[in-house]
Amino acid sequence: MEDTAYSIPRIETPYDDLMPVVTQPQARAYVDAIRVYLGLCAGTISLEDAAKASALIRAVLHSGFPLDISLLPVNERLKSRLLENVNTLRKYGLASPDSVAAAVQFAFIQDDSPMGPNELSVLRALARDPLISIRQLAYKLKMRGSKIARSIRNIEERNGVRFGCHLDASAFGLDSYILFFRMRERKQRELVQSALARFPFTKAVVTTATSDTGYASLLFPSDRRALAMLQSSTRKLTDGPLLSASLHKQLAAGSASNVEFYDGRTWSCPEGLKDILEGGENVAHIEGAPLLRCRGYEEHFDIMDLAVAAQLKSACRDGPEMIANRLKARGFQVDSAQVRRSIEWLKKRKLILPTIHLGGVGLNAHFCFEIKCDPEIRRRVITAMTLVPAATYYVSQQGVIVWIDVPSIKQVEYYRAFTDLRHLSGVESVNSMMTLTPAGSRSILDLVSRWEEGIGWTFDPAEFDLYQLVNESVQSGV
Amino acid sequence: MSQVWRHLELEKGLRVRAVANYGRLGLVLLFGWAASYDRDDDLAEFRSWVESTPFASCVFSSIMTSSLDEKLYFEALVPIYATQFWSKLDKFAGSQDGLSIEYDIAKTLHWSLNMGICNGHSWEIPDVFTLLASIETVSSYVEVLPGPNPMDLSRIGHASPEQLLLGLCIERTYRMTATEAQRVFEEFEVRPPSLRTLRRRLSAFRATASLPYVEIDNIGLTQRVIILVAEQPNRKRASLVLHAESGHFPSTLTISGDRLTALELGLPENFRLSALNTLMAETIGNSADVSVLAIPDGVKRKGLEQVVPYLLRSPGAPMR
Repeated sequence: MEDTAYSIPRIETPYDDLMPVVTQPQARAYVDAIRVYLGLCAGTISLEDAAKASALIRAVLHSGFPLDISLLPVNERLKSRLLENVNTLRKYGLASPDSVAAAVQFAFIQDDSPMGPNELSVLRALARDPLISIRQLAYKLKMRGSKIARSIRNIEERNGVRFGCHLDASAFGLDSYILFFRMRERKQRELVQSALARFPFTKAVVTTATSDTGYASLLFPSDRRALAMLQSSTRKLTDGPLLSASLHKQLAAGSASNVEFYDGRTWSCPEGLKDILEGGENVAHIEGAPLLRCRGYEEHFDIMDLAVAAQLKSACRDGPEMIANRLKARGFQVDSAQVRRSIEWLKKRKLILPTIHLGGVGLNAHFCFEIKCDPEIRRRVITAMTLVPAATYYVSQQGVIVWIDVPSIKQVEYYRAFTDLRHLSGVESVNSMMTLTPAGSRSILDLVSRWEEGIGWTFDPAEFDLYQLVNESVQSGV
Repeated sequence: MSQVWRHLELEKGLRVRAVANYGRLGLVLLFGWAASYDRDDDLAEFRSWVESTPFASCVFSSIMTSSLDEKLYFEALVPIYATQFWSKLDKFAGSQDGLSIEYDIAKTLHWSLNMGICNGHSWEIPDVFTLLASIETVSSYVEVLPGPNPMDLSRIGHASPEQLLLGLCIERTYRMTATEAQRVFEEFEVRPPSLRTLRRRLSAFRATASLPYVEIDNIGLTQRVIILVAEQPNRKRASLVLHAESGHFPSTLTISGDRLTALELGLPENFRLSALNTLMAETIGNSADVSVLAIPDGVKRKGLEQVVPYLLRSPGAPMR
């Protein structure tokens, strides 16, 4: 396969003959992203080459594919869905960037697979403690270790279960923000998406084809001038393509996966959600959902600790050896002993909260709600997270942002329960989004290169001028 | 064969019903939707007016819409001469106050149930990406595809009381017997013709003025959605595309006017509504206004059940 215009290292996959012929650079970048992943699955491309290729692809596709493909685990089902979609592209003769992008995006939609009793027991135990070792699981569930390992592989492979973690990035002098916005007109979507994706501190941008709400998750060095620039440029944007925009600084975050409501095939969603949200139910006796607070700067950290944390965010069950290999493939000089020490430090300082993400487990409807409210309502919302099949929540000064994954048969009920909050006194507003899949995000490893030993985080406040980025996007004709 | 039929009737509530050709009965099938931007009262007022008329066949409100606003969908069977109704409707539609109403008169109606994609316990709908690719491709040659064969509602006739009741009988049960039909006539205090004549007239009505359809429960179609499309008159490409694609879906009911099309789909539980939203927005949404509404549980069409008693009772109606 010839090298592409942007000098991707030579990569070969057994599927190169099946790839559609595309000429447009963005379309080629998407096709290369598919090939890199297939190459990883087939073992014909090294982790190092995959990482390099991935970085080049992301440079071309800045408004599109935020995922670092070299970090994606090998998954036969994802691979076969990608191949099926590639086949569809060829069959219908489609070659535009949008078509290839859709081929990639829709491959991530997880099929549902029912779960056997072994897998279900293992999943339940993992949902309570994502880092539990195989040996402990074997003891607890009275199953052989090999069977446990197989069950874990099955739920990862067939049900799209992934293990990640929340990180208190404030320990490293970084602030997490979510910019939640409403666009003035839906057709500005491409423009807004592209500008936000060009922002160097964006982790993910999520908008939908059918509504005017969207959000971007940001991570940047904690600095007054930078924040001031970001705030003022965001305000200027609300005179332009944005109808409204709110910057939410992360005070705490967490996730809940309430697998006890799942029987392997269906979810039995418990009653009482509305009562808790509306304050009818006395919530004092209900154990709260897990929450990781941002507690501020840690004096003695090594930047490698952040690199390790970045890896844990996408695969928190990976061992030190595997993490060290992945980091080495990205050019970091690190060995497994150092990784082990980092992990211990992160745990000791309570900077990570391991979580489990449920993929194809019958949760087909995904919503995001920005709830601007007082602390009392916020407390009730967090408590209510124990009654939702799967949820992630992000606490800010203005209220709470909630992502929920529910079965489609209950979607209207859940949607209504949260949007009805807007009628309560103590709630300023509720903005909602219905998304296609849980969004992927850019790895924070990209940030690590901005750290200079002895100096700290290097950046230019001018980089935070979002308004300028939007203008650039307009000029470059997006 | 009749054993299988009996089994399906008992176990799955199999019924064959029909939609009468409303045009032939002097009625127009009005359909449309209303949305209000933050003024729930306007929508409520419109809704209660529609429901208060004797003509409303189906009215429901959905908050699970693709644009996540609340939309009201309505269908009504309205006599041409109901001038008060039409002028009130125009008044609502013309008001500037943030209530936005789209409506049209149905010209055609089409129904299909694609059992070929059912394997007994699940439905083989192509994955979303294949649907996307298929729609994009079909869009480029849809004008040369053979048109669908729907029921034509556009020729408005005059209906006698007997015709109205024939329509009602067939809507209730497609193959209603003459004896059962006689009982219906008696229910409405209209003298039925003789059994032989009745049998003949039912047969003729079935053949020329009805569209039969199958109702069946428990076949895994737990989600009902309706796709609403608004286009320029006489440039109905989007509705043609949807028609061409309807073979991919388990069950479809298409109501089409000059400008608007409503396509109701029955879908299995695992079909993602968000995927359908994206699919519609990124294909036909480029050339037409499209929104997708989830239909709440239990919504049914009344059809002729409500309007026929009114027409039979109301004095001065031209048909007597």
